Amino acid sequence: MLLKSLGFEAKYLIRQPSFFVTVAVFFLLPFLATVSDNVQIGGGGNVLYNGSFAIAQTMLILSVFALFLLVNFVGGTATRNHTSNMSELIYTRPLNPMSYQMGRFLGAYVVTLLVFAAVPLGVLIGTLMPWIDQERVGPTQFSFYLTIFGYIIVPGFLALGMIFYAIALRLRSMMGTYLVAMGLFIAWIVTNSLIREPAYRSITALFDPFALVTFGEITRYWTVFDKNTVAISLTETLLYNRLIWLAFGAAFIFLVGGLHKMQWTSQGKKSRPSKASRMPAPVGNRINLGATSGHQVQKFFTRLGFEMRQVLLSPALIVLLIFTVFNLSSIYFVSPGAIYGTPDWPLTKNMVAAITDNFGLMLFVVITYYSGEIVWRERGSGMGDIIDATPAFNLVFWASKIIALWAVIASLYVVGMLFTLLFQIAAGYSQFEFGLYFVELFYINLIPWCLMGVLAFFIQTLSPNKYVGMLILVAYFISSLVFQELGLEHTMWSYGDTPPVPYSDLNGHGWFLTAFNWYLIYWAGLALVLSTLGYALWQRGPEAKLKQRLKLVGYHLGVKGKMVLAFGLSVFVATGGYIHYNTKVLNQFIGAEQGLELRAQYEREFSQYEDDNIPVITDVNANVDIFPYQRRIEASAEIRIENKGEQPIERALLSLPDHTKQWQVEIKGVTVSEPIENMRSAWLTFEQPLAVGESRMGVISVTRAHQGFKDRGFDFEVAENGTFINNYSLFPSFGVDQNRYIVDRHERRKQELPERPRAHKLEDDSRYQESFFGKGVGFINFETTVSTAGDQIAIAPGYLQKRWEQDGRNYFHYKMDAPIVNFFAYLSARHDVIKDEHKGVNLEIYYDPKHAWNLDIMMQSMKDSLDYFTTHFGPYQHRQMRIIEFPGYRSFAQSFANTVPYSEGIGFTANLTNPEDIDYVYYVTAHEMAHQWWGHQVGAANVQGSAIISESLSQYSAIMVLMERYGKDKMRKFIKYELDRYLSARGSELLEEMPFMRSENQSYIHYRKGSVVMMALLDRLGEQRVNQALKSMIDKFRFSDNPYPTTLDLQAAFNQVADEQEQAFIADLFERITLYDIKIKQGNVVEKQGKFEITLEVEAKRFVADGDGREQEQPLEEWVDIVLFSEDPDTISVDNQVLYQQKHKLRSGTNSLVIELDQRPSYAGADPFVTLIDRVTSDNIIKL
Amino acid sequence: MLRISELTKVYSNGVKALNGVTLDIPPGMFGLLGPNGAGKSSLMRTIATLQAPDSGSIQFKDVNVLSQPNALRERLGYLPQDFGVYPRISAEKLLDHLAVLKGLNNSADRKEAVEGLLVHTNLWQHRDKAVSSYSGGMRQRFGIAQALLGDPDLIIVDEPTAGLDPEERNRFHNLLVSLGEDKVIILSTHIVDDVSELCPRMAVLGQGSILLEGNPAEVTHSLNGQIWRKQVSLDEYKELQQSLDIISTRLIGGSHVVHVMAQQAPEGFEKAPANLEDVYFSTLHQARRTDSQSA
Repeated sequence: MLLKSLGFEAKYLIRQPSFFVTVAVFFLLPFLATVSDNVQIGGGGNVLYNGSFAIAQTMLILSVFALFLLVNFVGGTATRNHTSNMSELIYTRPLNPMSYQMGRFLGAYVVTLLVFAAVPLGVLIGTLMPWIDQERVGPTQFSFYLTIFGYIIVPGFLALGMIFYAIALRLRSMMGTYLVAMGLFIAWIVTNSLIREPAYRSITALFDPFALVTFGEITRYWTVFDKNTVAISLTETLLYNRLIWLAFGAAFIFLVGGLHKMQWTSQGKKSRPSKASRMPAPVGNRINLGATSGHQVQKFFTRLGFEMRQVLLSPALIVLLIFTVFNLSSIYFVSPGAIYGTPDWPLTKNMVAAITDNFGLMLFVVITYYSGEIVWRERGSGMGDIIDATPAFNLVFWASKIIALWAVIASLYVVGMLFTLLFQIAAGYSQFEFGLYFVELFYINLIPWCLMGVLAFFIQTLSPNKYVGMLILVAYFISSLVFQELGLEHTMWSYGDTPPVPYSDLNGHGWFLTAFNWYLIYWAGLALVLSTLGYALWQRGPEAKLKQRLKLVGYHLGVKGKMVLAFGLSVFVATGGYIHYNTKVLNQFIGAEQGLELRAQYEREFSQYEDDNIPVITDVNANVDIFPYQRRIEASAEIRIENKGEQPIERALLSLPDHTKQWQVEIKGVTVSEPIENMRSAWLTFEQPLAVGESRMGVISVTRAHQGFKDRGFDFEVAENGTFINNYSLFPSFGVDQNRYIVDRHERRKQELPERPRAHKLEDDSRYQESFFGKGVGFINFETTVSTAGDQIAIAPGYLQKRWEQDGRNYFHYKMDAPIVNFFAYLSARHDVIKDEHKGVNLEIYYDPKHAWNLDIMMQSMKDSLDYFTTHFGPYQHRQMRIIEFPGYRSFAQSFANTVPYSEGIGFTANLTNPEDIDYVYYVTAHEMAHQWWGHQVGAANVQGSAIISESLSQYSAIMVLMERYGKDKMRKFIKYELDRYLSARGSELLEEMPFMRSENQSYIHYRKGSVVMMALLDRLGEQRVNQALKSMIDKFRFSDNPYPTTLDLQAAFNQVADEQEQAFIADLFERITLYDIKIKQGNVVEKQGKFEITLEVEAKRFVADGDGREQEQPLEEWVDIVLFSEDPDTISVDNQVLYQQKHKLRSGTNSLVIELDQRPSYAGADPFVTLIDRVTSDNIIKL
Repeated sequence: MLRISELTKVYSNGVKALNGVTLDIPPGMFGLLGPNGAGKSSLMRTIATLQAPDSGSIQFKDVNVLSQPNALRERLGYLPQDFGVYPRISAEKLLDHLAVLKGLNNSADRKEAVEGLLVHTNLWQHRDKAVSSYSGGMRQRFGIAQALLGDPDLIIVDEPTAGLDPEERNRFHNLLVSLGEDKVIILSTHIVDDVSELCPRMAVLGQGSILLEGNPAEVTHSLNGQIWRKQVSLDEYKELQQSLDIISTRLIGGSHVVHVMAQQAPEGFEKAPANLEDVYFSTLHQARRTDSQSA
């Protein structure tokens, strides 16, 4: 019986169209994700497409969406007898209810598994496609597919299937079952936002029904090597997780499902006599009142009211709105714009970003579902014949229905806006910007979605039925992701798409709305065409074939319709032409693929000149006129160039800046060639060669300007309010611009470029005279006059000599009294300024009046940094320090000489009211201050590890300032963040993880690991010796450009202050990728004559990893902190007392330690303050 | 008034739904008889502008139905054979909604017509209940009510009496008769009595073709003297099936009464008065026979 009903059910489901549709979708998604870079499921990185991790991630993420697949099949099976009115036929038969029901359930379950098997199949077949990069495909390992399918999918679907079968049996309604599924989905998402806090990770890993979190925990610190080669095993957390859910599912199906019972209990509601039934029937009404023709407007409004009630009062929309709110509620847990877990103020732009980020995928689904639902409402309800035979025009239906769809989309935005407004109020924020809400949500976001709705309607109108229409739409959405690969990259080819409209509090929408408006008109024209054709082709009657409908297009359009059609078409064509003119004629359009080709061509043509001797600039005196409201900069710089090399210079390559059609270089005895086409370069020919040691004066002038609007490649550096541009973006520069080379190894292979080291070898001393800023970047004498609009302040490095007004413009003359690195910037905005003075140094912050929250903190940080750095490292080279806010188009702070441009997004708007949060504003300010020493006083040679000197030492310096202010306790939270980020980022390495001292501009090494390494050094050597070593670096290399220091010098400086054992430890930190595994296995306390004897068994291991993360155990002999606590050290409180802290020498294997103490400790820890790189820090502490 | 000529429709699966149908339908009630699958609904839907034929034309008064569907829809009342309704909307509201779509733009008129039709179809007491919760018969009555909204000139009702109890069926017949003689009312059915009771004109449709057309009384009269009947047992019936052309069989009190059409009485048969049912069955029978002969 069981097998029979299983077989029957499975066969039935396999014949359904939904089976083929879902198989197609679940096959195509992973297939496309594998064969195309534009479809991504989960993260990227350097892992193999068919490595264990990539396969698992694809399958697990899709398994979350398969929840609805499961509900569709299993729930459908549970309710089908009821919905198809078969129940009375079935339940009167002599069946064993248990095996009948179980059989049907298993049938549906097997079919669901069958559908989902399309996912691994999609990946597998995808990896066999000949055009994908073979380097990224490893040997096919079926175990990678089978382990995930067998260990996670099979039991997971069974457990969830049982639960939803039971629920569907109980509720007898698909809608209800979908609701429950949606509820589970929401709960899952909300819990997932919670667990970013490490404290909850292990518990959610245990209870995640999809085991996605569990998998994430298992693989958290997997390296590239692990990700490609290690299959998961069914042990520990994963095993328990699966068992828990299977048990839960089984309990559910037997207790809730009531499988032993067969019949449905009667569902009919008792009808009460209504008021209507008591009203006497009217007598003598005429029923032959004649209808009159026309009245289409009245019909439209009646239909509109009806359609609106249908969509807005439907349970589905209520579910959707609740889902939206839950989805958005994640902002309570992960504040938008948060850095280091510290939230931003709930600025309207952040709220809007949260809404639009959350809505993306959901609106695809909403449009797909609702367009089918609304267009086919009459057919679906069975009322189509009656409605279609009424004399309402097709346009009445089309217009009322499309407006209903728009209302659904708009209602989501309304609810999103109300929710975020409440969030702002709850956070005590009251600068509501309703105008911004309106423009962002209801103009920039809503309208393109509405246009997408028109396309969806058009597709549904042409489609023979709802499901085919939905399928076409999904296929369209998916294929639009790969349009790019077909060369259809320009936004003009992608229906409803517009160039992005980035928003900055400083600069508002800037010029970006102009392009947006034109694209919107362009697409609206097409949408109008689609609408008129759509209503002319509207299907009336069940058998109205498209071919026959085409014959009546003219009839349904009428004269007015044809005029509208022509109007839409001419708008579309005319604006299309205008957009083409602006984006491709006035401006250059370079697609991603073409851009890569150009970069490859550049490298092929010019890499041979990399090592050519080039002139070095030694003096700059620049006149820069910024016209922010015209988005134009006119600049000319008098420069002195010098030949610092060993050969005379006869020819030099000139790299030209973007957005700059007009430029000129005048140097005596030098002719300049025409720009080399597409290469943004030109040749300088020194007819009078520049002899070794010779210097010459010259003038470089440029006009950076913009015409019309662009489709991509925007200029974020010149803005109406918030211009920030550095000299390399503004002026032409000498030599090959290696930043234009392609870095990504896979892209390089596609372009047939040879492998190329990211950096010069550390030992290559020929590069020691070359700054890490690049070849030919040395120290310069700097002076500048900058002018800007009358209501703006313009800033450049140097001290203000003079400020004046002329012709309604502001002029500033800055001059530097000491040489600076040839790296300077110009800024201009409508800023407010606060000024202070500290020990002879002027401190200034230029900020937007709206963002005055954290100025005191920045100011304090500048003062504290000056104090600490001058005390420990040496004097500050300038008499002034300025922080200048710039628009959040770019999100960083950068240190120029006495000048720190600081993005609005990383500190000015941070909400630091909670004292538990990391004060990253203070920290970032200190970091940028530190660069005045590390980077500006002490440079770095252009070899591996250069960023260690500028960045890791700045990290260290900032941490020390932070530690002085907030104490060591708060540092633990910070360091744990850094350690976690370092360990997690290893797995997304693109080429090869380098040891610390050989970091090749890998930010997770020079920032994240930098913090951890420096803290380990601090722990081992102590503050005094570390600073002593750093001071020796400053003393030796201050303003030195021959040679610049390397990490070899840094290591030597540390070795100077260390003994032999410590030197070995330093070598381990610097030269190798070392990982530790420290674990307290056992701890006992015995009381002996008033004293306490504590015995600890500490297991210690040390591993050394290669660049792919392949690890080998190495012998360990290390001094490690052993600490005894009176309280749980994880609860940071004042009472928590460290009873004992001493370094013990641990060796590989199990170490037994005995410690005597006067007091009874309750916790013991081995390296509890995390100074070693240890992947599992939780087992470093044990309760005694 | 309604002129249908050479209407042909072949479905994509090869079924020939309409095969050169030509009909000229005068005002008054017109019965369209035919077995399931004869093409009745296809013909009705085609007239009701819900499906286009492959070839042929339909003219109603001055309206070319196929090229001016909206013009016909203004004069049309249509009850499809099988229909559903929007969920959760009461009969009165739904009828009002349809009345607007039909073009009853004056709200007082609309109210009067809607309430009147609710009374006429005996739905008055149930008017604020959702039509989707109605029983089959009630829903059918709702369908009739909506078809009569706006005083249409052309009323097409496809199997209107299906699911109605005898009392309601009578009520419906009376309602149809009261609508007036200047309208074209096409009634498709497989219940012969509906036609004989109501229609001055009729046609029999079989396999997409018109097999017979005329006045029910006249066509019945033409068979007078050719219909013979006999009451037989089951075994005898089986024997007779081999030897005679039986046009219909009916059970009376548990035994078979066989009708045969012939010029002279077969052995043991008695003469029976011809009725419309005999006409209908004999027509179908003949069509089947010619069909199998030609095959």
